[in-house]
Amino acid sequence: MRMRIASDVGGTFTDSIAYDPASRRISVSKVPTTPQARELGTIDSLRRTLNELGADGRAVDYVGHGMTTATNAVIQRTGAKTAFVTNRGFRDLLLIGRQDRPSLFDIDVVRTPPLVPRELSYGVGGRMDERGREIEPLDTAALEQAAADMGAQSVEAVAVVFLHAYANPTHERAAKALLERALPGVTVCISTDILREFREFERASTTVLNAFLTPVITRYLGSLSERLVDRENGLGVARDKPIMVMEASGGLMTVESARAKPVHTVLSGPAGGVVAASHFAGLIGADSIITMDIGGTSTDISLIRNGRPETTRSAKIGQTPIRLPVIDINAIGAGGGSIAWIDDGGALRVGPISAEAVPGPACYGHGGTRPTISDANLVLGRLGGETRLGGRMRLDAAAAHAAIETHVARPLGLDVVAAAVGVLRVAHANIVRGIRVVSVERGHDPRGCTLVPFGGAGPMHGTPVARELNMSRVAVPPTPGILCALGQLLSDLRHDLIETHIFRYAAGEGGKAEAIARRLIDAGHRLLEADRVPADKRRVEVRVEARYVGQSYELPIAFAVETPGAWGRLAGDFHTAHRARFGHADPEAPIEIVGFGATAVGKVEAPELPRLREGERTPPGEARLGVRRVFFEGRDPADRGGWAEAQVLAREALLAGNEIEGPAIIEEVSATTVLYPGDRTRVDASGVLLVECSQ
Amino acid sequence: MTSPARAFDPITLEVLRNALEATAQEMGAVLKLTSFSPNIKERMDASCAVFDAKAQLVAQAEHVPIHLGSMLKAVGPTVAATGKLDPGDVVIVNDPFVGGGHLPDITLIAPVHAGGNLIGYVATRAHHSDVGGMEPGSMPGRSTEVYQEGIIIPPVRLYARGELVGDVMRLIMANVRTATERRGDLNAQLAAIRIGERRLGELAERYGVGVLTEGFDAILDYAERRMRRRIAELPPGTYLAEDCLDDDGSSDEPVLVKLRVDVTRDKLVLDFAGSSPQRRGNINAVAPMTHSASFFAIKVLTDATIPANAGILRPVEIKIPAGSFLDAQPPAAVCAGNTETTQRVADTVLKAFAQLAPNRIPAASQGTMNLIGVGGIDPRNGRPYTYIETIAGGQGGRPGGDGMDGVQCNMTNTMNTPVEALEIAYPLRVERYELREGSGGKGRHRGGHGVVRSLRVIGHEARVSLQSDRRRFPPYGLGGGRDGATGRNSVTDRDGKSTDVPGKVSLSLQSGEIVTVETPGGGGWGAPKE
Repeated sequence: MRMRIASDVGGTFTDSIAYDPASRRISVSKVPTTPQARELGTIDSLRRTLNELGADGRAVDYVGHGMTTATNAVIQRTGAKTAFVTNRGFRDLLLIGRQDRPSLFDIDVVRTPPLVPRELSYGVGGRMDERGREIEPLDTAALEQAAADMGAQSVEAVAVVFLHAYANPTHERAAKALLERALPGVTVCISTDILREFREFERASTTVLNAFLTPVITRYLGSLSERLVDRENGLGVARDKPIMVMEASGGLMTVESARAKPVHTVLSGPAGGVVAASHFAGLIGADSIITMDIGGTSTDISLIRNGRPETTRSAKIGQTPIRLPVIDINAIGAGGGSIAWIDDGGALRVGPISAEAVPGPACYGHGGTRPTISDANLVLGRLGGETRLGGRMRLDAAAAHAAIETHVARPLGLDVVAAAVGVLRVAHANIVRGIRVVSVERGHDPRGCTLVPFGGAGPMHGTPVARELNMSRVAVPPTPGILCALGQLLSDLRHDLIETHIFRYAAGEGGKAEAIARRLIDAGHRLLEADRVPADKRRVEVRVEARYVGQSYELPIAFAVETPGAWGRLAGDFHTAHRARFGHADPEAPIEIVGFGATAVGKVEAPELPRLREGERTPPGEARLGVRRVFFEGRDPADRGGWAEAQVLAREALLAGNEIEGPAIIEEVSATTVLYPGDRTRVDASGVLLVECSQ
Repeated sequence: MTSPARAFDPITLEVLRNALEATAQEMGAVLKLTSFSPNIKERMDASCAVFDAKAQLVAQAEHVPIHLGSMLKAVGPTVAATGKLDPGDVVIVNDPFVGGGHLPDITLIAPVHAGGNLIGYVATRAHHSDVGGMEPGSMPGRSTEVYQEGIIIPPVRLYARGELVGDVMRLIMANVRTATERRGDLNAQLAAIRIGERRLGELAERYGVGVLTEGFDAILDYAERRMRRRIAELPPGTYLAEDCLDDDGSSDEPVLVKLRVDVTRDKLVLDFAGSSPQRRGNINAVAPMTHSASFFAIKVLTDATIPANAGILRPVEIKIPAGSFLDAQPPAAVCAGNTETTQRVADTVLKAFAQLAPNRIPAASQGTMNLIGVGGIDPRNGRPYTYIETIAGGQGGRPGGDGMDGVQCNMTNTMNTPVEALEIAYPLRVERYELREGSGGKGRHRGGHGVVRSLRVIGHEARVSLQSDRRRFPPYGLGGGRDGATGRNSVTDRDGKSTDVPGKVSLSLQSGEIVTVETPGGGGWGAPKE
């Protein structure tokens, strides 16, 4: 047996999946996260899924793991006691940042203090110029003194960032050696090991994050690995089986890499879902998609172009920049638990305040009294009285009704149904606004894209949101509520290397660029080799970061160094990319190369997922659970809409080729899909529901 | 209180408000995406807005506080000047005296029609990095009349019924230093206008012109209602405040901002009677700038989440005496009116507000933008360069806590140039960029510290100009909090000897010499514990 297992530890739930490629059977589990020792919940939930397939840890061949440990450690500031070393005259680099403030008008919104306090920030003598020439030697005496001070204050980690170190890392390396000698057992991270790129604040911020996280993540992954292999109290997975950790880029890294560079796992929480969504989009031949992951407190939106999730290097956790590739995900404050309220101007608003996991929406029956989107869905019959959230939680319809009535219907002089419809209309308006703005910011037109809703609440809101955006296609992936865990079975190993080299582009002078590119490719191969990826499964792609002279932002352009004439064609590719992204180009203007990036991918043997058995056009009898009265609002804002008898279907029992016309409700353990009157869906063999929205 | 809007359904109100704000945001996103110059692309020194058929602002994407109030009045005077606009027309204007700010702010405005009727306008305003005039960057330190500050574009059609009016474009391009970039940025503004037109048209189709128009009114009434509620909560009375700019750059005489605030149950009146008359130097502000600074302070006082549309104007009256430097008339020089004067107006209005809402208003922030410009010939490649930047300072101590250190305050929020990027691009070396310890005023909540930024000139002679204030009169403390430290500008020669230089100055620096800007600290809030 070659079982593949993965778990995704979120703030509230730990999702797991086990897959047996031989029998093509899959099992999933959702258990509450164990915040005190997250590895325990993980092991417990993985064991359940294995048991369900009649297997145990010894049969496991591959372990994927997604975690919010790094993200949480940053948000809750529970990382290591960290010091920061930089040039004399710049000790406040982290504090000043880019000198902007987080809110234009609200004076109560202030910058979060840096992860390193001012007392642990040190400026030491020594300076390079922009070409990496030493202007002033490193003041080792000052550094020794700083180290002594750090020792006295029991610092656990140090980040070292010197100006222009990307051009010459000598001072950083010397400082690392000195600090490691002076402070045994303390983690020392230098910026050029994390990101050899200019723009000191973003590089420093990324380096400090890495130092801050290293001790925490090392401990966590250490205990997780031990539990996984432990035969007595753990799973008993063989020691030589790979354990892979999800990165925010959508790639995977080995446990060893994750311990050295934990900053790559910050913001990785939603990445697995996007990876899985793009996988399914590929199976149904949709190459431009918008994903809409609706959870309890927010909706995460991302764009996938040409089958690849878009990444950004401008991500932030809170206000702290991470200058590494991160799947470009934008959160909107509207989720199932978002609270509806009437503001002091008399308008109906939804979110951003959420009922959170505790007490949760009124319908959870855990003491929540404020109305939420989930409550509106229950009042309107989208969720049923018999629906079990996550397969377990019974819903309290009376509580949902009372919450909507007290806080929305009565103040607005509406009946409860009209009030619940209002809550959904406003929530959809918020989500639509978010998708519109995010799409246009990235140069996308939603009309040509397929909407892929997932997360527990996503598929309930897919078609009304798509209609408002004039999108005709919606694709609901299988197991939409645990898509993140599934993503870890589908992703590949990934390393990113980034370096700054600034020079004018000249078509005839590719020697320098080719040398840099080849060196990066070698480095990428070495990293994958260290991960034990066989040569034929490795791929290293190089790109240059280029701009017109005078610009202050760059575009990545693929540079296939081994293809003859690649360097010469780069200018044309740049103009084309510039036009595609920004709407204009200037073929006469000189181009400047700013940096190089390499992405090294190690193909993980992805399992073939189960395919559905072929069925008739009509869903089989066991899929038909009955009918339910569901209220659907009209498309025209003036059309109040009405109740309809919607057929209720069990997703697990649907077969490939089944066709369903709305009004219909398709239920499964992790989510509920709502089809409005006129929406039509066909069940694809991949398990995806292909929905054509009525317009 | 206007009541008819209660009849407009509160759900459609919120849905439409979202759709209109999304439209303004989308316009902003297109502008950012397609613009050429860093000032728009990265710093987003620009605004986009949707107006109704009566030229009332309905929704705007807020990027810079400087444009906040001035956009409210952008369309009315322009359309009055051009006469009736046809579908496909796009008006261009930068005349500060026609609903504007200063010359670098170029505004494009287009009407939107549905079913043959005018239903509204869309507009975008962006700060262009050069519009000609006596110095590169069009922010000359020593201008004394607007003609020196760049080309003046009165409201004219740049597009007529969808066709480019080439003569107008050529005339503008002949008067600016970096024509390619200007053309690119104008095209970006046009792209923003086009998406705004399209979205507004789609909304008219989706909801019908009738509902959309009623929706506009309902959204304005909604903002008005919320603003009136906040005003009704304020203690009625009369509150006085005054503050000064150090000078106007052409003489040493301080420039006075004087304000009387009258609060009644249903109205907030700001009267700037007694403020200094129009000055020879360039610190004069056109009335919309005075409005912007006033509305910034009103937002801080009331509720930052009230949509900044024409509805909030209704219960607010701003009186500016004719002839004062806060209602500049042609041919006054106005370029620093945006940068320095708006800061002082905001300081003064906040000072008055602090008397009526002591637990909402922070002490004075640095009150200047510390604009530094350096130019010369780069010895590394023989090419001329111009570097411009504004520098952070201390925020005033807040009722809720200390002021932020080293941060952009009040009317601006532009980012810095990274030290490494600066040294790569220009023959300058940053010697120091850190907090100016002790500069924040002491208080129960201390003022934020200013910063020290030192630049050394490398291998050539450079021209340096500074436009800064609060070098004589410090940022005030509140409620017993101490004043913040005044700022200081100085030059250090090659022997290490340092000499102070004025707040507004242009000078030449030799290779190896250093210019240092020490920015003001914020005032303290509340009496310090001894």
